[in-house]
Amino acid sequence: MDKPDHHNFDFLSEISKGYTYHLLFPDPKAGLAIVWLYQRIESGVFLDKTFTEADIHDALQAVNQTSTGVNARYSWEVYNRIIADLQEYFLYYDESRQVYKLKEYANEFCRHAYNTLKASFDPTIIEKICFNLRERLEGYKEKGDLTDWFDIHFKTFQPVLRQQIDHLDRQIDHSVIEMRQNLNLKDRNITAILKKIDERFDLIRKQNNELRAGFSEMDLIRRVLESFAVQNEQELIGDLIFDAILFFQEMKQTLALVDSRLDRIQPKVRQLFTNLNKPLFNSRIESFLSRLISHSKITIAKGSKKTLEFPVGIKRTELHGPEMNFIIFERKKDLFPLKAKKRFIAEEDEMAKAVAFSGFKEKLIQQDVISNWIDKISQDLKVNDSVRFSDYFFAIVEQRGEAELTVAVSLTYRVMRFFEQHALYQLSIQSDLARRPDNNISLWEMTIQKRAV
Amino acid sequence: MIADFLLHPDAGRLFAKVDYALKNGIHIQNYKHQTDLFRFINENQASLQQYYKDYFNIVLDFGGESVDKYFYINFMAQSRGNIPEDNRHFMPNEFVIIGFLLYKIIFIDGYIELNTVARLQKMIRLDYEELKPGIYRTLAKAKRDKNTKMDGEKVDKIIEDAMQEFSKVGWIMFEGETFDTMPSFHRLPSIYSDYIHNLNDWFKEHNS
Repeated sequence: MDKPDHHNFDFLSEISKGYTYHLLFPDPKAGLAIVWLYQRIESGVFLDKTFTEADIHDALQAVNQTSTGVNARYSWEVYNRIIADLQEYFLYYDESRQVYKLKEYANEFCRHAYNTLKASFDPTIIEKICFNLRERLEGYKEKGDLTDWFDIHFKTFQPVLRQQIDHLDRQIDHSVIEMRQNLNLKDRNITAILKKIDERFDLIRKQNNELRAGFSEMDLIRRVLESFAVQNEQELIGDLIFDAILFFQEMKQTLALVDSRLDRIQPKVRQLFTNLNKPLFNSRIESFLSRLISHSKITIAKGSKKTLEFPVGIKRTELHGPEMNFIIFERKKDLFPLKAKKRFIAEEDEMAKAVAFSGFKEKLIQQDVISNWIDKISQDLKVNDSVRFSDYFFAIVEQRGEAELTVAVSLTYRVMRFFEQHALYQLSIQSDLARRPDNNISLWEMTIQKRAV
Repeated sequence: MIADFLLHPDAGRLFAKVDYALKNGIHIQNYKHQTDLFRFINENQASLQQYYKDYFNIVLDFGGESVDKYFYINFMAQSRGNIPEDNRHFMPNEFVIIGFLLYKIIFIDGYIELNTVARLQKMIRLDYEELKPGIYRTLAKAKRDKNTKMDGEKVDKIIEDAMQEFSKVGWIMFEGETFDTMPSFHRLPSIYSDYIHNLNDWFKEHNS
């Protein structure tokens, strides 16, 4: 309240003005140079924490190696502008001594980044070993010869890694044993034990992380080796690479074993942890168990079968109902073997085949005839407004054959079906019978006409 | 809604498995191959509990908390007098003793790395001097003071059988030769918690 200025200060609008943001958060090439200088100051390279302009040039050159040698004169000009910009918040220039110092903002800037990164960077021993090994491997790979890498570095690395893994395994053993010894102390202080177990638990977790970090580095080494083997077909190196890959596989398996050991132990430690919170319950369980063991009776049931009976009053443990059994019916093939039957082979009878075929053909022809008649009726309807079905019927029947009668009857059905649902025509059945003098067949007269719109 | 669990997207795939497992007395926890089943029950807990209560008159119960939660059908929750004795499945009393021994070894004495039956057999036979006579008497049905090799073999056999039974109901899980106790293994003391908590009163009342 005593600083009314703050009410008018808008951080975002202030930092957006001109180059302010750029000056507070410089480009990587300038920012990294500041970090380069900061590291040297922290490690005491620059006396009284001051440095010259030439040092700044070194810094800029060191962190921007790719752009060196393009144009020396151009670089100098660029550097000059960068240094001028940095003077706003990062660099303090002492004109009388012609030396530079880091401003407090620069110190704060680096320290903050350092602490943030440091907190999440905590390489484990295995990770360091593997990282080192991989870096060297990359170096030798550039030269195209891995012999030295194998002879000098890999050979010394192998026993170190084995020892580390053994060490982890032993540490787990120790954790577990030490924890148990604490549990077995006569005069046990529960909170102290809980605290110790908690510490052990953290340690185990850390060991677990160590293993996982080891896995990923080893995978990288394997990949580098494999790609090298593909590119270089030297027989000797090929064998060495093969052995190394086998070694990594073996180590990975061992690590996985240790890892799964931790996986199994961790939940139990947790359960033990909760269990220790109820010491009374535990000691009661122990006395319950000893009562069960000492007071159960053995009775001899039918025959000589001995059964164990709990002290009176303890109900028996029932964990599931009767097991579900499905009665499955199936025809047992082996019970009633079928007698071999003589296979029936149909012999072709040309005559019967011809008869069947001609019958089939006749039906097809009949369908054609009926379709033709329907077409004819449709044609006639286009000319006349209405037609009488009996005309067509008797025209067919007049030929006096049995086949014709069938055709006529079939046609009647087809016509009824066809015109009943027709969009343009409608069929109506009259109440009078249609006859022909020369024929004793009669049918209800049907007329077909255009539908009234 | 009682039928909610049937509308769950995984019901078609999982309900039958869950139903058979529960009715066969299997305890289901969030562990490896049981994870799917566990999630299905956990997401449909209320509707499944209602279903078993209304249609089968059995109790779908649970124990443990968060990561240690487990589900089971509680056959001991109510009178089951309508099921004839011959058709009921009881865990042999010997197995109950083995169960409590295993519980003591791991969760009271802290041998959390114990994970093979062979090691358990050895520990029960050798490491618990104070319990040894009782163990041989109850498990090997041996009355003598001196134990023979055959008695030892009997004890081993019962331990082996008990572990198989525990594995069947999901209290422990085997992976090859090694086993792990599951969260539901804590059901054993909870079954007997009434007696355990009132041990002296109960004992006086029944065995004086």
